[in-house]
Amino acid sequence: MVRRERTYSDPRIIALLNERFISAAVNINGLQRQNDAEGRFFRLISWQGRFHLSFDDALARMGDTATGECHQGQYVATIDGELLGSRHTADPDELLEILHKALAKWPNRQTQRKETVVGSVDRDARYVWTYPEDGLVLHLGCADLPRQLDNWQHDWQRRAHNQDFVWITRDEMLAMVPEGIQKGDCFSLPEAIHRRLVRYHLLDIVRGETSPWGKETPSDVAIEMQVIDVDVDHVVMTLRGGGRLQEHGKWCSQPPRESVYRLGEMCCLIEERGFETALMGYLEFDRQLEQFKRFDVLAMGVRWGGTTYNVRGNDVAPAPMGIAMTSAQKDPFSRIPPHGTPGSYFQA
Amino acid sequence: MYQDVIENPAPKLTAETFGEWFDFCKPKPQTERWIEIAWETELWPARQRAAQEGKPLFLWAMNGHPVGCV
Repeated sequence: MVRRERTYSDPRIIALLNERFISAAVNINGLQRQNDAEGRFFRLISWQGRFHLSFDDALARMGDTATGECHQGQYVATIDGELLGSRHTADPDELLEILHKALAKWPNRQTQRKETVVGSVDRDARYVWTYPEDGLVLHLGCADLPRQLDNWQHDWQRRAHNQDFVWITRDEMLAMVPEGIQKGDCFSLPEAIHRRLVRYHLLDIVRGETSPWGKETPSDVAIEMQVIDVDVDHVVMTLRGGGRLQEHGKWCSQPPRESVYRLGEMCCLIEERGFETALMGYLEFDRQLEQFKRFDVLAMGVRWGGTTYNVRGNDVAPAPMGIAMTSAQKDPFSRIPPHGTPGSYFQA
Repeated sequence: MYQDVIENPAPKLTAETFGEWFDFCKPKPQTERWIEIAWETELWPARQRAAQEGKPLFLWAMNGHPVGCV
């Protein structure tokens, strides 16, 4: 994702944010719609920043959870929601300018909370993710593979890669290693995991997030595990599979950043997306710890087409792509929820 | 849009090629500097910290989580 590499890997940005600000990276999918204090606080800021409302007008509008407008952006604000600066840019110089201007406004801010404690928030239950502490969390990487015919257009697209996380609950994880399995046994992935992996994680997210595959698509991909070795302490398995995911639609691609048009105006229509993939994996389960010691899975194949948000408007021809999943670290960044909303993700 | 003859085919996925392409595709966030920023990954805890430390809030708000799939 270009902003991670270009904007937020700039040493000037890193130093300034760490010294002078409290920085938060947040997902607007929930915040735009959350009917709770956190959502209202976010929208108070974004209505001022992205849509240039006054503080009072934004206060009146912050309860609006039905807005279809996109509230993406970079914002500097006080803890009372007073906007000090805003921009939606990937250019580190432009972001630095916003940060310095915001710091200049800070001493004269209009809102000045005396107490230093902000209480807890009772989050809108529709957007509460519960990290599967005793389950299985995979870190997923997605990248274009080298092309025989070099038809890339821009540098950032050539180097693009993205990531996501796969969440599997403890009960789901244990269902992958049934009691009594023997060396040589072959069996399918449990249906809930199969559907989630296919719909939410065999996606072309190289250049940006995209919507999950339709509810009928999981049957288009077969995934089978085979027990290679088993004893009282561990189970070693391989994973094999493949299939063709294909969907037709009418996706209006995003105009380029430099375009004067907004989404929906003069768009280039994409009518298909697909991913024909093979899958292979190596798994080792520790029966004493009840955890996977190894869970390395690779999906590799040819993708084509795109959707509104994954920036494939100029790159719809079939080309190779890979998706790798491996056990996630235990650091805070590895606790980020998967793309989607909890209800639809776990009931894929 | 799908074509039977692909100008840019995918490499064969075999036991021999698995390691090379798995390493190519797997996430490598430790090699990127953006993780050096002390990001809060939710808004409300950031607001609480900003109150305690008396600093302005900086928000990077994206459709999708900026630290995850965006």
